[in-house]
Amino acid sequence: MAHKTYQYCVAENWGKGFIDTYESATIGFKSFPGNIWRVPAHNKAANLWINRVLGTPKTLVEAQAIVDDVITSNQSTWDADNVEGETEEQKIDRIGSRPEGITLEE
Amino acid sequence: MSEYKEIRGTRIQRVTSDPDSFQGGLVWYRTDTNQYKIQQAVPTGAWGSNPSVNTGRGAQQGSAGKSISSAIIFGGSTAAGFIETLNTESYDGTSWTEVNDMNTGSRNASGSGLTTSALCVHGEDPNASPEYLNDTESWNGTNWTSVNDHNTSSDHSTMSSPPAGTSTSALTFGGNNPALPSNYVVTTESWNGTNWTDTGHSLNTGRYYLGSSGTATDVIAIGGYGGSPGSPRQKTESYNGTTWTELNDVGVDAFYGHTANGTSTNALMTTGNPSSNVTLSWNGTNWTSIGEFNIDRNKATGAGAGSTTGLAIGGISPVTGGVVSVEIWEQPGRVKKILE
Repeated sequence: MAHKTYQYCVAENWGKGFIDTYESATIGFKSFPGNIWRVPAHNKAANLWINRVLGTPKTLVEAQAIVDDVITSNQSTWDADNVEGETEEQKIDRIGSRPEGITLEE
Repeated sequence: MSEYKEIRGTRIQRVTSDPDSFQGGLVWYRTDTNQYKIQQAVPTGAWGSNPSVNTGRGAQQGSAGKSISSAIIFGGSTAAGFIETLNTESYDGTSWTEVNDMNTGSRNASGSGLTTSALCVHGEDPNASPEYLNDTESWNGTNWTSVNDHNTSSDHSTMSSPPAGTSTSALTFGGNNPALPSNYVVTTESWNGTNWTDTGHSLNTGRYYLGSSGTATDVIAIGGYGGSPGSPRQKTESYNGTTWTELNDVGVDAFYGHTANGTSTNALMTTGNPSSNVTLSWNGTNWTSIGEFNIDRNKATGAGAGSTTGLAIGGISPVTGGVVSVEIWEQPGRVKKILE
């Protein structure tokens, strides 16, 4: 079985207390579109945090699908937002670069 | 199983405020909030989550505040491009509240001050002519008022953060305007409460996307971007009211960042680069990398008084646009955690 470095969950950030400073210093978080959070796998503190914030655990494939859905939606919005005669450079200046895909790690 | 009293030699105290001194493992009960709390040693400082703003936006320097319990954020763009907001929000240590709007919208403005006295020099509006602005607005705690213009039109400049607010003193330096021969701004302008004056003192390295920390006569310019085509500038320079002096480099590409409104010898800086979210502390001599955000963002804005505490407010995500989340930086070894 491949060694799993990370685990994923869906949890809504409610603000103060969602990640406290101690958890931040000792666990190591990374967030992705769709309220996806990545924390270390096989880690008691990370497991306790997911439980505390009522996170819903997701497999890598499930988490990737959620992230992809958000990015695809935002890419479609970007593609459809055009002004007649506008160059690519002008469009990027107006609404930013086209959202790029994100690949989650095992 | 050992009891708390056997280990600590005393029962759990019932109190109405957190203890000031640090005693690792100390547990107390807050009778006012009905919470057990514990002090835990954290090996390094770290970012934790804090109450979110109502309107996510990247404003870079569009914020003001010298503490983590009182700040305002104003203007900016709610997307990676230019979706302007005139919105102003004020933070009282508990929540963000919408207050009166600005008069002019722009992105990448420079601003600083306090919740009761703030100043904003507008940046860029691609729909306006000219595109790069020099309009200045002043906040008196209730309303924004248009005041005398800045001399230079640019975006991505930065403003000093006087501890007493900006009603009589502020300094701007750096900035970006493609209409200029060099593309970037080297000038330093001083605000006396009524007018902006070109001090005649130029940065040694002209740049934009830079940060700052300090007062109008004792401030540092941090990192940034410059040249055409642009590239990161890792320079640190200090200003004493008459001269800019080069200090030790930041050591990493530091741009699109925010400052925590510290001093020239004690500051917190986040890089905010699209590919990096490094947090750096400055002790007056050297920069040290000390952490990263939990939520990646660029063009966040900051509030705080130095390297031990700070707020990173909002920002822009290249995927989802305006970020509403706020993170709080707390110093090592003094975390007071609520027991579940």
